[in-house]
Amino acid sequence: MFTTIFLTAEEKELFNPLSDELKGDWEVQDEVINYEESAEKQRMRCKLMKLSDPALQKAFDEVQSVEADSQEAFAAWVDSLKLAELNDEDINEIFYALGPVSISKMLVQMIAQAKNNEDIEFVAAIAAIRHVMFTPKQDASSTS
Amino acid sequence: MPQAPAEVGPDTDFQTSDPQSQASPIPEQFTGTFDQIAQLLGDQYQNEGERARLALTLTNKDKRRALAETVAERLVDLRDELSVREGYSTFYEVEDEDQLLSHIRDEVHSRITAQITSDDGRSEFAQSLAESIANDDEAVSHIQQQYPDLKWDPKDPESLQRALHEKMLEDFKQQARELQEDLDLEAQVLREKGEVMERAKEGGSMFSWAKERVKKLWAKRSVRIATYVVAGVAVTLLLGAAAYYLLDALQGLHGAALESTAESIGGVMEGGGGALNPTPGLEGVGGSIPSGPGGPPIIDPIHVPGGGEIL
Repeated sequence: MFTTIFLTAEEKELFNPLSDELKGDWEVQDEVINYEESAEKQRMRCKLMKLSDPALQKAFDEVQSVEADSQEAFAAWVDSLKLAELNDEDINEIFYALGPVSISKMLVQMIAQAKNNEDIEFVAAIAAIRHVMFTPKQDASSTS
Repeated sequence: MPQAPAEVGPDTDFQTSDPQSQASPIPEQFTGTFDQIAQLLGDQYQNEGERARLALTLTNKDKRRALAETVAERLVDLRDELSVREGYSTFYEVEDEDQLLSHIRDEVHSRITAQITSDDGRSEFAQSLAESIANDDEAVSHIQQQYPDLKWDPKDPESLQRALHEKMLEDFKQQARELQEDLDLEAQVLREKGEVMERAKEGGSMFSWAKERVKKLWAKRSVRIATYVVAGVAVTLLLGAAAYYLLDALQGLHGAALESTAESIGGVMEGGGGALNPTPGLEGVGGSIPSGPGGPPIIDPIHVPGGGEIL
């Protein structure tokens, strides 16, 4: 069980006012995401997504082949996934395709809507994935 | 898809240079010229009107991808016929039809695109399309929408071809520049992805724990990601910033009130994203996205078109 939660300044602003019960024993560490995002880059990450599960790849290809600009279908597809059934490599691919900006926006909403410890644990887990994947090594001090 | 079976004539009597190669089952001589595509798709494309419509499709970079899919399907349909020809054993032996189709589609698209990006081939390709389009009034009417400032002398039919050729060349040069930018971005993202995946590989126990928790809790989450990816970066940031500053202003309020407000804002944000960026033209497959407990309102089902028709 890890107790560190990596939050950006914006996320901390939402996390700090939460009740002590919700905040529990989580130790907040500052997260800084330096990532230049663009719609084109977002699309390219999706285009380059390669999944090891053939059925999953096929479903993804169908979403991608709809039209050149199919971010909407991609997002709905990710929402429909059962991550519990996916292997770790495919989860890495999906989170990379989402990118840190989308993940950060999700986190803002997740913190704002958190109701119980499990919600916060989920926030911590997503934030940890973002930290490992999108914080360059010299900045990522707590990845093991 | 064309319905009538077509003979593969001399121009499409392709041979692979390396029959043993698994890398490219698509015939080497298929370079994606207009005539090759028209001939492969079937007899009906000898008709001027159909050829003109096909030419129109080839001027559009997005439609070219759908066309590549159709050409790939046609090549797979002809697999039995092609398999008896010298050099096609590899083509025939690929058993996974989906994989074969996907591979051929990418190859076909790449070769058609090369007609646009090649300095040598671009003019000839544009000329062949211009000739076909100029022969069909309906196609001319369509291309005028694409090139509103197209001008020619009605008394001189050849001036239309010349004007079309010029416009298409200009357009294709721009498309070639965009394609190059796309290739550059692809190289950049591939480099970045390599670094990210390396970090993920060495992620350690915290990363393993995080993924295990995410797997377990993903289905229970109340926040859907659709809006954040869907709305596009600019809109996402705008909505996110608006919600953040509003929440920031509300921080002094009682915790319960803040929670309630945040939920409310969450719903507005989700709904707002949908309103700002509806999904016109996406019909067919797909399903509704369930709303989580206490989360944003249900997002309308997202549909995707089945595809298949190229024109």
